[in-house]
Amino acid sequence: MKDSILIVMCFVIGLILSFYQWIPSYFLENDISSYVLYLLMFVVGIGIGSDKEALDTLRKINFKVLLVPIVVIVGSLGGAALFSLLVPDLTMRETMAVGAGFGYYSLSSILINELHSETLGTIALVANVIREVLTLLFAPVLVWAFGKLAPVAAGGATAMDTTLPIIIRVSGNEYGLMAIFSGVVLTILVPFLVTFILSF
Amino acid sequence: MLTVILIMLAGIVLGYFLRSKPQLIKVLNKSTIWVIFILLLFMGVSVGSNSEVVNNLDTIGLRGLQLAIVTILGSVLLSWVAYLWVFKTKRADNEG
Repeated sequence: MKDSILIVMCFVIGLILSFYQWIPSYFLENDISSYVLYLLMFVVGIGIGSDKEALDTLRKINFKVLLVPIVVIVGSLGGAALFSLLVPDLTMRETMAVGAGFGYYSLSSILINELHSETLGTIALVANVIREVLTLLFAPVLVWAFGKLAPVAAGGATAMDTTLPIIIRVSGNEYGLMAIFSGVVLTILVPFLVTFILSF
Repeated sequence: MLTVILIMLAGIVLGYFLRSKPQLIKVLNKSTIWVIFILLLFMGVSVGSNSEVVNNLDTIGLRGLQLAIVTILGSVLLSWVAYLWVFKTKRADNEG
């Protein structure tokens, strides 16, 4: 949660700095951010490849457990796709790219910002931060209304870290393990799915 | 776009071979959050200088909130179906 606040603060500081034109024009004219993005993807990749536990988690696959991230992918992308039919200003490809963040707002918003536009990148940041916050706030209500798997589904990629404590609290340890598995799978899939959807 | 994926795959392969160097992995993992901080700062800068975004912050905020709600609803409704069909039946002792 501390990291989430710091990340959003960095964005807001950048926003204010450039809105009041306190940034040297060198930074605006030279697009160094795409090189920093490449660096980030490289480091994220090393993190995944070197994480023995994450890969071990992926090995313990059975149908029931595998179903969880599939539910999140189909549900998020389906919800986002249907929503695009209701609003005139966003295409299905755009809403689905935002939905494919699954709450992993830092990486998804940066990618969408670079690959598509600043407007959609900002929507992705807002949407995925709010997804994490709503999951934290409404986890108990979700269990009551939609069963114990609901907070795991709502948490998406965040179910492996930031929303894990509340999930274990409201759904129990058994669902905590599913939450970690689902969160790991979704976190790894975010960059692939976002890039794939935006390539259409 | 392919560049991003290829760079990440290269990182995964390198990470796999770096498993024998836990110290280095630790430093690299800690550096990730700093790279994210820098990128979000850059993102804020590019967004702040884009008048189209700044003038539409209310619409952007609204669309963000709506998309958060519809993606959660889609996932949760589907998880409800999965819960009733697959998960709950295996543990019928919970609620009967």
